[in-house]
Amino acid sequence: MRVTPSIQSRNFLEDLARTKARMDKAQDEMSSGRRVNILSDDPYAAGQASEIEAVSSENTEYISNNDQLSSKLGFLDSTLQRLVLSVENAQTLAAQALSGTTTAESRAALSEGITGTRKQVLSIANTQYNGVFLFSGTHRPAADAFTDNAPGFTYDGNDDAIYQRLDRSTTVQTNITGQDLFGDPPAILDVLDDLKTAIDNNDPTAIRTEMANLETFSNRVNALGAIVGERVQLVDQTQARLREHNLALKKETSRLTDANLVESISDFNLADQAVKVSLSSQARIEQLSLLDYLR
Amino acid sequence: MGSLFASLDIGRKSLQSHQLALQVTSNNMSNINTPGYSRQHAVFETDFSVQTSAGLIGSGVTVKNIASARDQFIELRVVEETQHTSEQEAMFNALDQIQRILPSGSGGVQDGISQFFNSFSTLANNPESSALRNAVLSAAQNLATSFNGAARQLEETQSSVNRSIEDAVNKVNILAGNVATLNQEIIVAEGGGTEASGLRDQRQEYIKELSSLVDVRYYEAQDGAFYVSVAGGHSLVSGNTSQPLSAVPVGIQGHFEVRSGVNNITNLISGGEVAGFIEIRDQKIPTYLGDLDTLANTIINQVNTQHALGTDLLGNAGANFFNPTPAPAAPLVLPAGAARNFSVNAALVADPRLVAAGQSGEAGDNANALALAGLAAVKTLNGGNETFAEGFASLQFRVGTDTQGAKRTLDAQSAVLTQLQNQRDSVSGVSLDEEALDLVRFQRAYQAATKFISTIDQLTGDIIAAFGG
Repeated sequence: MRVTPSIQSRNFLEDLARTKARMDKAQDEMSSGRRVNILSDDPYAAGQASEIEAVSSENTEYISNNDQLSSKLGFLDSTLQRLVLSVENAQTLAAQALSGTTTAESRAALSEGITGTRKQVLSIANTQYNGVFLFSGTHRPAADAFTDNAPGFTYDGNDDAIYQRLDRSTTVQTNITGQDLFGDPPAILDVLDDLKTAIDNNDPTAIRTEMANLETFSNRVNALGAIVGERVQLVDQTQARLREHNLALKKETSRLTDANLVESISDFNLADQAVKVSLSSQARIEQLSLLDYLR
Repeated sequence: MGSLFASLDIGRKSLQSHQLALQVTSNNMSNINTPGYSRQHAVFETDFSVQTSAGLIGSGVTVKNIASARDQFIELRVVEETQHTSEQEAMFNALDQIQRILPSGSGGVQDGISQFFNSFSTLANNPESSALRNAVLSAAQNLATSFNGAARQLEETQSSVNRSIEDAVNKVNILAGNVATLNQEIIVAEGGGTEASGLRDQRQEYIKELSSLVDVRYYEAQDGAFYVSVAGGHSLVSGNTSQPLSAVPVGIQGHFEVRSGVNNITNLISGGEVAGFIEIRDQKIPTYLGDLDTLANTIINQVNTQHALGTDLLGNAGANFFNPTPAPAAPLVLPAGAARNFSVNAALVADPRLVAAGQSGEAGDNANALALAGLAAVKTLNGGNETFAEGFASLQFRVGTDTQGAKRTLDAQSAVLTQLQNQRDSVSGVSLDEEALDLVRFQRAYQAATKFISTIDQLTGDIIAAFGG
């Protein structure tokens, strides 16, 4: 085959272009740290990474929301603890009223103590979290969720549960309604009203009845506290799983799209050498001509 | 019997022949970089013979003709492969632009979809929050912008490719005119029996350029003229006349239809840039836009349907969250696609309380926000097999695969074309070493002829002197 300068220069330029394209690709990988920078670099990896990115973004959002939910449930739990303490205080006062050594003055003090406890319970019933009543269901009352009518109370809320999705498949109730906690019998505010009346009347039978009601209520609060605790645990477990999942997704994205820098550097060096050798050999070939040897 | 004067004539012929050969060599060396040039060579032959007492003897040398080194089969193959390579190159260049319209990561459609549905998830934490409602609407507007941008860029690419078709048709007509003109010149030049090598080279270059634009077929008539056809047999050049193609804008989009006379040959063109442009304009981009529109339309419908099941903060049923895609009107008003028209209901943007986060009418109800956020995980696309994110990833995969395929085919085609061009140059290209050698050969022959004439001249002088001249 005759080899003409046009063949040499065409082959040289095309080889050089190919080698420089390899250099460019290696340089792209080194500077970006990614093997897949455009879809055609690896369509399968790019498509997979895109899906993973969407799932990871969703997980990150769940993690952020769950952190907030965790705080809310923690606050709910501590609110229930405060309620338990208030009920225990009322139980102590009721026990003192039954001691048989009470005087009119001490009963008045005990009655006053029950009034104070009732105020604490009412305050707990109107607890807000981030400006929202904790026990009003989905209703947003204009004033308080629980209005004191002394005796008795009015509940301006509903019995609707509020749910939050912890991840794609897990949904959890995030609230305890005022109806469930304070409205269902025995209603603690009514119990405290009746207990105060019983102490004022020095009626041991009525005091015992209300003590039993306090015990029932206390059990309810503790049961609800246990449920909240389970929810906190579920949120924590879900958070751990989501973080684990995101880590796995990150690894998978990295496997799919990240550059192997050692390979990229090696490719770059090989291409660099090839370019230098190619340029050098072409320069020498260009100088060779029979014309130079003719006199 | 030969005479000294006859010998002088032999010397003259040698001088003239080698002078001509040196001219051919010089012309070859001058045209070493001329595209499409076929090297020439002087074909020497012994001039007529004369009878001597010893027998027949030649009367010197003459140049029979100047021949070009040309292989028509290889040139035909170069033309064929140029068509395929140019078609793939046009497709790859367009697809390379398109793949950058649909990237992953921040600001793209995929990111917009994620952020939009995530914003409902966040709203569910505090459904009455004005800030979170605004965040939902902001994410919705970002999603709309990303859909609008992707669709607009695809349409602009389509429009740009469409204009390229018109430009290419204009170039085809100019080149066809040039071929027709050269046909006429070749017929006249070769009427005397000599090959019009330069004109043929020039014409072959025009044919090659034509083949980079459309799928040309050609054959050479006995008079030396090329008859060129396109799109499976529609005449483009017949002898010294060309039949120009026309690019006629059709429909509201103004897509150019390629016509030969009154015949629409758009879908018959099977090679060259124009075939690639047509494939991109009429097949690839409409498919991608269709997929994008389907995705946008499904999101619009699903979100609107779910939103309607909810109740806003004013106690009303949820209005359309996104404006429904307008049905194509007659006459069609562009742009018509769901992605291009993707927009958020302005009433919601003006009053975020209209976002229907609940289902009971209570401000703290987040049931509908949860349901809307949950749409991200529902497989509603592709016959219930893909989520929105998976649907978009599938579109990215298709575009990536098409681009990668076009690049691989282009690389393979280019290698074939390079090989053929090398084969063509191996036959027709100029080699400086060869020409240098020829230069020396012809120079030496010329010098020998000069010496010969000088010797004969001296002999003639001697004879004249011997006779007392």
